[in-house]
Amino acid sequence: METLVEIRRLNVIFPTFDGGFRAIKDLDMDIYSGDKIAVMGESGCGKSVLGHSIMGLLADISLTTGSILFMGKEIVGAKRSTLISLRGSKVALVPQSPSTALDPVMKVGTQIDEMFWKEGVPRKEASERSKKKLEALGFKDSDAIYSTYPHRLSGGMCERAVIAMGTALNPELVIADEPTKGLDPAIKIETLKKLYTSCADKTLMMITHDYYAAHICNRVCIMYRGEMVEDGNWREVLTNPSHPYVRGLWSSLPKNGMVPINDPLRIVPGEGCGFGDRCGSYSERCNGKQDMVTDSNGHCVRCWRAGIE
Amino acid sequence: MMDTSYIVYFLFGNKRKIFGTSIIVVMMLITIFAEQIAPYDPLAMDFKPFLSPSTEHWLGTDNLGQDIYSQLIMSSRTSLSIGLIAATMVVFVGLTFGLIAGYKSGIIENTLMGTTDLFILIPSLPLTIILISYMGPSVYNIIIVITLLSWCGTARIVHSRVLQVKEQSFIESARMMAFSDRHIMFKHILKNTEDVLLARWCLAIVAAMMAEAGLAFLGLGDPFHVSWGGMITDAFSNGGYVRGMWWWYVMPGAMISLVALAFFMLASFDKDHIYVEA
Amino acid sequence: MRVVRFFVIGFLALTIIFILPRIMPGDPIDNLFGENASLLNEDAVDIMYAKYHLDDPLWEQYLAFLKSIFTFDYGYSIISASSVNKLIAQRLPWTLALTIPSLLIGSVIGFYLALYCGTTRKITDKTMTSLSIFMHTMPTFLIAMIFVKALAFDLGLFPLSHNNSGTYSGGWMWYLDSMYHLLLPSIILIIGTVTSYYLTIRNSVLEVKNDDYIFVAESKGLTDEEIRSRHVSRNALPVFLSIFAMGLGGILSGALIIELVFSLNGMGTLLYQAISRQDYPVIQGVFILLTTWVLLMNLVAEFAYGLADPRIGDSHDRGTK
Repeated sequence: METLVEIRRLNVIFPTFDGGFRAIKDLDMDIYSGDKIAVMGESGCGKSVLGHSIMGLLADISLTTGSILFMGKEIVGAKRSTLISLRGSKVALVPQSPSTALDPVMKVGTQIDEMFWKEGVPRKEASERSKKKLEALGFKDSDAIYSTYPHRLSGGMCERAVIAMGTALNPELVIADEPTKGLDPAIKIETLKKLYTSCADKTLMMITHDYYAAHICNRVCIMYRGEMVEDGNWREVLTNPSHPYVRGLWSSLPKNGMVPINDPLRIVPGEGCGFGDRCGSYSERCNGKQDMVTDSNGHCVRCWRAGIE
Repeated sequence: MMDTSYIVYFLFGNKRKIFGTSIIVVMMLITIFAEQIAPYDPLAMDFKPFLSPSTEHWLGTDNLGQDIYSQLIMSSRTSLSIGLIAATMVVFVGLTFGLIAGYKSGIIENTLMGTTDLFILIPSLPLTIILISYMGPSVYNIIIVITLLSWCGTARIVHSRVLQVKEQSFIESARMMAFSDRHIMFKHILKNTEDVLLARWCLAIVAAMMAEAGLAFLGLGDPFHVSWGGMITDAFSNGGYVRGMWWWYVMPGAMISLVALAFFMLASFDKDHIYVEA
Repeated sequence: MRVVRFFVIGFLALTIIFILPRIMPGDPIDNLFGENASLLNEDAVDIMYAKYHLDDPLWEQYLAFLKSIFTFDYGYSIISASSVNKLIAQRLPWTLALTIPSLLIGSVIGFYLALYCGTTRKITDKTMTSLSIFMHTMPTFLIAMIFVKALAFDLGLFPLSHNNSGTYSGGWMWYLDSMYHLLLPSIILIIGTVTSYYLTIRNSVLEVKNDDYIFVAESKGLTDEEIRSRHVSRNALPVFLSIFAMGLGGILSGALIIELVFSLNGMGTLLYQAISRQDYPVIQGVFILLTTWVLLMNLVAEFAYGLADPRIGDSHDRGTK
């Protein structure tokens, strides 16, 4: 199992009027070839930022420090030409909000063609391949969809089109940003299946806050306030997590009784645990810097209690 | 009705706006204290004509021996008042049309917007010429004619803005609470068109000043109240142009330009968006 | 529905055109003869009146007016002894020679500059924007006057005024001479066009730049060039087309001030002279031409916008999906 992406001490800060907003805080992560990872967390925890920074998309609008090694190449501070050569062909984004992610004045098919053109495929062949790709994603009438404009497609169709676009060149890593957001429950399952098969033997990083969608993955990571708080096998994290925050997350699900997470009960110093202000199991030790606790299976938890329990 | 903190932002929000506001303040002061600032009576023909700039006559004299610098100072009143008043009226009329047309759809909307379209289509310059010829070139008529031909642009923009705002849900909830139409129109919708209005007002001032200058150039300016545009025209037709007395026409032009620039600065919200007349 | 509206508006506009010249002060016959008017006897005045239908009841004049529109018979100029059509035919080419090149060249340059500067926000952007704003704050005739002073007067690079120096009677040299005379006014017009297109398109480009799909295009690994030329430009096109169509509407009358400054014999000067002498038929004829043309171009504008933006026109279909 080789390491596809190695992230060390990643910090992403967005400049604001009063200092800066740290979207990602000292993040370490390894992504292995063939992983199907679900990155989960509430809005604003930094999961989309994580996905975007792996592709170097935030270079102009943020201050990014640390190291992201993608297939051995350094992404942080990389030259534009390097990034351009990697994007689309080696690492691709399946963007959020597919209806606005497609250029409204360009035909759907042409936007997929663009990926092939990048690789020097001639026009005619490119449109053949685009149509095949659309078929593979469940579009029966691929000719019609190819020649249509985005505003005529429904939400689910847009999502599949965007998946076709992202996976056109069969990249090593597919980063899917909220693929099931806003879709009907009936369509969600179909779409997830299509997404999965489109990256069958490659690596998928799915950013989502859909608990059920995460079940298609073999590895689940939870982020809170810019930090990775738990990372492990899907079954363990989704049904029996160790981190208090993650436990709180799942108890707030409808099926578990919708028990909310506490409002902040105390103030915790900056270097301490990000969840410390709301945690039910808080103690003095939580005020210090919290490192990841790893067990023999590779399951990581950013909580000192996990080592004991 | 207007939100004070918004106005403060509008005037002083960033460096450019401060620059713009200061120019306008200076211009206002010049207009108010014109008599004190101008060294001579601009109409006094006591001096030798066609003098070049000197320490006694900072901008020399014109063909009738009148001091150009004094003219420049006094003309500020005409130019600025025409600009400000015409612009205010333009925005007022345009706002009324656009607001009502946007809020009440159906026949009222169609009639109002149809009228607006009509005014947009008629070629404005020739029409202005005809109307001024008919009504006589006085300051009041100039203001009226400029208003008549410029309100449609604002009306259209207000109309589309109102349509946008109308879609938003808080209007629906206001309506369900049985507030009267007038109340909704004024309190809610109007507030949300503020930003567009303020910008349009500034641009209308620029446009009005340009229109007035154009009219002056065509010989349709008010002969009793000379404006900066009028001064340029005088230079053109009374020998300043052919004699190469560039200070005669460049200075009033620079004045117009400065004021226009100042209002332009105010109308652009951030570094990026620069609202233009088109 | 749209088309009906256009017709109604057109009709109203024409009616206004009819009324306007007739409410202007003064009497064209008096104007024509000036000081000599008093020398005319009653009969002569009556003949003149009859010839120009000036004492027919208003509604009769109106009907004649409407008829003339459809038969393109605009009558004869009261002041100069030729038909209105002939006058227009004489003057129109000069105006068009000025406005058409300036529209075509100016709009394209303005578009590309805005596209380039709006996407690569470097020094060029700041310079162009400042220059454009500066130009925009000066009245056109002032710019014309300054240019003429500097380039024609002082440096002698261009002729000072008029279409032609009158030295040649035809053939190549006449064309070249005319073009030489039209060069400076064209340049000024082009500068004006470029600045206003630049500012408006730039706004559009900046908005487009912030849209989701541009971010996505970036994530697809497209180069800046590709993003700019394929995605940004196509999305800025609708705005460009609608301004362009409006510009087309202004082709006939747009150069009035320039024509006056340079004493060129175009539609602008024709209209101006006609108004100052109350030459009704000419005023009417020119106005009708102008308004119909603008109306037509407006229709074209809407059509063009619909072409460029595939979302328009589908609003009917969206309900059925």
